[in-house]
Amino acid sequence: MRLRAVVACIVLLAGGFPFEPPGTSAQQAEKSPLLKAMEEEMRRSMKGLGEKADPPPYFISYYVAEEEQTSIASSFGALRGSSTNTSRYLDVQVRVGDYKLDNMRQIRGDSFGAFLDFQPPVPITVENDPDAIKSVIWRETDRKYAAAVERLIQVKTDAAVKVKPEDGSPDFSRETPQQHLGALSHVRVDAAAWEKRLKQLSALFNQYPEVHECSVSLRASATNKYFVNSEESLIQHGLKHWRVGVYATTKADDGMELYRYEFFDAHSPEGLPDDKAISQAIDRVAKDLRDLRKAPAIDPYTGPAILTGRAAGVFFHEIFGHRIEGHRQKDEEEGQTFTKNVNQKVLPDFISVVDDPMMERAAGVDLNGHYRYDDEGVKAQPVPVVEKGVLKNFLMSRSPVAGFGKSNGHGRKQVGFNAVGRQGNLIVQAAQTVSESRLREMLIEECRKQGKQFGLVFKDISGGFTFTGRGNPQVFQVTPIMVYRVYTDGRPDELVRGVDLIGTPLMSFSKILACGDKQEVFNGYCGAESGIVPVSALAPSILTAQIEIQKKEKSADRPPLLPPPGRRSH
Amino acid sequence: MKSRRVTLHRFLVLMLGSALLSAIPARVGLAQQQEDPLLKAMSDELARSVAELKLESLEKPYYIEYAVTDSESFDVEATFGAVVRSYRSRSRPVSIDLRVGSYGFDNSEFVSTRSLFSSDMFPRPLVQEDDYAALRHDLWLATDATYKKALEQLAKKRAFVQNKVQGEQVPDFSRAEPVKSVAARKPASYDQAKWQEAVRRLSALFREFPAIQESRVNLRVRSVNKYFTNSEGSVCRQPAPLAMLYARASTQAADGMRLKNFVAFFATSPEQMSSESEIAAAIRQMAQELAALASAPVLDKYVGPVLVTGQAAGEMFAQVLAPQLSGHRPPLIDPPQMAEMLPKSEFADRLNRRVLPDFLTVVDDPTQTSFNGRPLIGSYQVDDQGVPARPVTLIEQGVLKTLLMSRRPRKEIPESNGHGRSMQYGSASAQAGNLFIKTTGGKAFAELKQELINLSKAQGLTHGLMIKMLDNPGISGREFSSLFSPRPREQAPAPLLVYKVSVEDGSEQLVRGLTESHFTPRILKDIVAASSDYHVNNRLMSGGGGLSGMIFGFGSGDVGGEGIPVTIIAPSVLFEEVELKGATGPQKKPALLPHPFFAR
Repeated sequence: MRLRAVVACIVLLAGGFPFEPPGTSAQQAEKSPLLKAMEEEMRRSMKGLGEKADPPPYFISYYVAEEEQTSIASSFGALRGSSTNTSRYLDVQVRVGDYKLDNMRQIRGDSFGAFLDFQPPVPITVENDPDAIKSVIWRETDRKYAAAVERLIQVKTDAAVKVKPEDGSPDFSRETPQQHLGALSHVRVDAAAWEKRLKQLSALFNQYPEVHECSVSLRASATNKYFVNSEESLIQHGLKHWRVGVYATTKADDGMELYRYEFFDAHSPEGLPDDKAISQAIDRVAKDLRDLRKAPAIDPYTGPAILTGRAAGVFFHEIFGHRIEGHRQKDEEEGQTFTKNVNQKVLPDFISVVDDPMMERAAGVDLNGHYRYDDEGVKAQPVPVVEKGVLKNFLMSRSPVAGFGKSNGHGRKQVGFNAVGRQGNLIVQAAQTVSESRLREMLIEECRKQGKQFGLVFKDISGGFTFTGRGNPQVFQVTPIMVYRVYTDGRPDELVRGVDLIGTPLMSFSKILACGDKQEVFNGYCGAESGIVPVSALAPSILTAQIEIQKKEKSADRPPLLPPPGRRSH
Repeated sequence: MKSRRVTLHRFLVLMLGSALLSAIPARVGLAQQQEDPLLKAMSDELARSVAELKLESLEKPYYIEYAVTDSESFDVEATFGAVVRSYRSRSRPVSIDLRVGSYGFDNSEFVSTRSLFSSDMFPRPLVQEDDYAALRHDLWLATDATYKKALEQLAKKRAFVQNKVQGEQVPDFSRAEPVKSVAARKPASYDQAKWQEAVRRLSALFREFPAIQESRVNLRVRSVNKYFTNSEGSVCRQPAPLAMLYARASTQAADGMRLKNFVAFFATSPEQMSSESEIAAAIRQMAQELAALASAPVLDKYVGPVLVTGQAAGEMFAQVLAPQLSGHRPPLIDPPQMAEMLPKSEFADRLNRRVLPDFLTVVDDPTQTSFNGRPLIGSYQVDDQGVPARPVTLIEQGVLKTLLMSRRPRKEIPESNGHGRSMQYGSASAQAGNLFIKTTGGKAFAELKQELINLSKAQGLTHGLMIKMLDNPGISGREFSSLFSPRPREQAPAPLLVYKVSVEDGSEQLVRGLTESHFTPRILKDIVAASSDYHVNNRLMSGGGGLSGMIFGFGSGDVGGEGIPVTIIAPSVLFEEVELKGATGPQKKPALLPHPFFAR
């Protein structure tokens, strides 16, 4: 029932935006001169190299990421920095061989290869001079072609001398070419006005002597991506992202570094909070830090816990999302937690997971992980990864794996890297939910059942990391910031600090008991082998019977020896 | 004003007892200091730290220094007539040198595997606004963290030394007189739009050269004001503006051989920069030389007399001689094997020995600001450790007399001679300012060329060799992959423009392929003659010796336009015998398709 409500909600949200079938020109913007130059040089390269090169390339793509960005930050009423930049970087991909076997195939046992193969993205002119643009593309194509030929020889040798790979899928999927001329994005920021505003807001931190470092910041960016490939895909599209951040740090008396932040993400300045909301965030951040300084450091604990929506979102992103990225199922250096689990139960049957980059907004928040075309020019699509607890799909780039021959629009990357399957908006849906207050009651009941004096509630998590590789233990760690003890004897909740949430993925999922009815959004950035990409995670609160925490590593340094200048008492 | 002086006075008494009491800070400059919130914040937080910073039973700092590089930069890059990037940036990092222990033995210059890339090596950004309270707040946190790190380092260094048999102890830090030198701030002043236009036009010149595959023109304008205060009472504020314009180009010969060329202009402000027409002429000439090189015959090895002239002369002395003159004593390193990574000066142990022919004398003089009307970017009044600049005769008639010294003493040279210079990263080390290679009995160029011919003839050669251009990878660009390759121990400068000189008629024939030279410090004393005219070679270099040298390399420290500004003033020189050869290994294939612009 709840599931239907969530699905309805997605439809409603997506319904507000024009949905363009591939190939139509409805509502299309004008073709950028940059895209035109890319297209022309692409034709010349394919034709020219087709005639002169041996072996000829079977595929070429040109990808340009353009970013206009303004960043302003202020601390304690003073401007810390303000800058505006525009950059354009080019990535050229040349493939020789064929769709089945080409130069991009991973060479087994060459785990440093990816690092050594990294080439910095090539800066290309920010001005639309076709001759200058083409001269840069031409050089880079020639360079990439030569490297591709060299690598194909290595790939073929590797294939000949080593045992057959477990997954004999082709190296590159065939996809329907896409033509889309989306509107390009620009941000124009009144820097002087924002500087003044952020200075005033950051001065509020002067009321809190225990705050060591602080910043109130704006980052406004317009990202335009231009893509052409030799299969006749031709795409330009733009996104805008505005983020206001409130960040502060302090130290506990035992030397533990403490920090707290709040970010507001929006696709337009209208979506940003007003001064009052930002001031309130500043107060919350400062007061949380004050409370954290006084909070007891927690001892290792295993027992029941609630992860509220944002915390649960990060939890799922780290421990689940990274393991359903398609390329990991083929890479023999990977742990492949779920590779052989398709159509098997991997989560409780009341939980479904979908990754839907097309969703722009949810729970009243603009989503960071939204995009319409992925970085390989494939149209984004919602991917039902888990249906009623059963694994159905992986997040696919154009690198096929056994049973999944096509991309589902999740080939993502930062410029300079090769795209792999990545998350966009990871949405955890629960078919059965209980109210948040009922969830809390259930936590206490579970504690009693397990003979625990208290359970934990994780209200905010800053991020985390996970190892998916075979050489490492299959573990994750996430760093919660706001964690409370909920006592079974009715004492008030108690904030604790110094917690790292650890564990192994499969065990964590098996212990989920129930979900709350409030969906929350975590907007963030995710770094992995294809670089840093913006992502969102949406989840309800989850109650788990068992969670494991360890003590956070802490710095041995004490708090500052002298009081802050100008303030004689701490 | 009054209370300010009291504070300063008090901390001096507290800190140093007797040594510096005689050097009570002059009143001059205090007024200016007070108008500048940054300088005032530095002085006040320094005074407070000196008076009060102490962790329980552990040692107080015996020396604290704040060095702030307040900089505004404008960078523009263009290729083939279009701007690639254009941006302004502000930065205001503070580097804190905080020492615990004593001048004899302190926490400095100790590197362990764990501390190599510790975060305190990097300076911390200060708020960019001149807000006294926020600046002090930043300095407070930075000082606190640095002090704790320093205590930790000192303990580690003591433990390390305890386990080693020590030779004679050399102090870690020399004493220096406090300096007051508060010059007026120099604000950034340039016409961004005008310069952007100029760079775009200059980059379009390459549309005239079908033989060239790739080219870039970069302009970097740095409006820098350096601030310095230390606990010995030094207070300095010095403008250090710099403008650089680089044009670089590369191509392939028909056989695939990669070729490059570049030209660079330096000035201490954009107004002093050469005119656009002069720059354009130089870029055209550079491009013509590269185009000619692409169709020049190949010469793949040569042993014989070589005349090094023009840019190549300055470049050779910069890369081969200048690093040898740094007297920066290497840090203690744990594990000691890691010391192998450090570049070493071969000359350091050869004081009072002949290292050059007797007709060459080498003087470093940062106090000179121009030479033959050309600006010298290696000029400064006070070095980055607050020591006044002064001319130093390093090599006198071929004999090594002393070395460039920072405040890190050597056994044989206990004091600084005003050459403690730092990049934005890492601590100061000894580096040249304006390095003059002077010659007595210098010859006219024609005479030198005749001597080359004579020597070649005497060796039974049909040709002698003349090098007019040596590579400076900091300017011409490195291959990305080379950044990760192990650094060759003694990277000799690579020739770019080499000419065969006929012994018959003196005619010059450009040749390509001789990319490896054997210019090493030891062959410098085999120079047989020098010219009477000088070439001015402005450049950015990494710190001589020390940690920055380990990380950024020894000779050319130009990483994205950062580094220590240095000028080399050198004559053309003739070697009786130098070995040159070509690169081994397969060549890249030539480009398969023609340049899209010239193919139209």
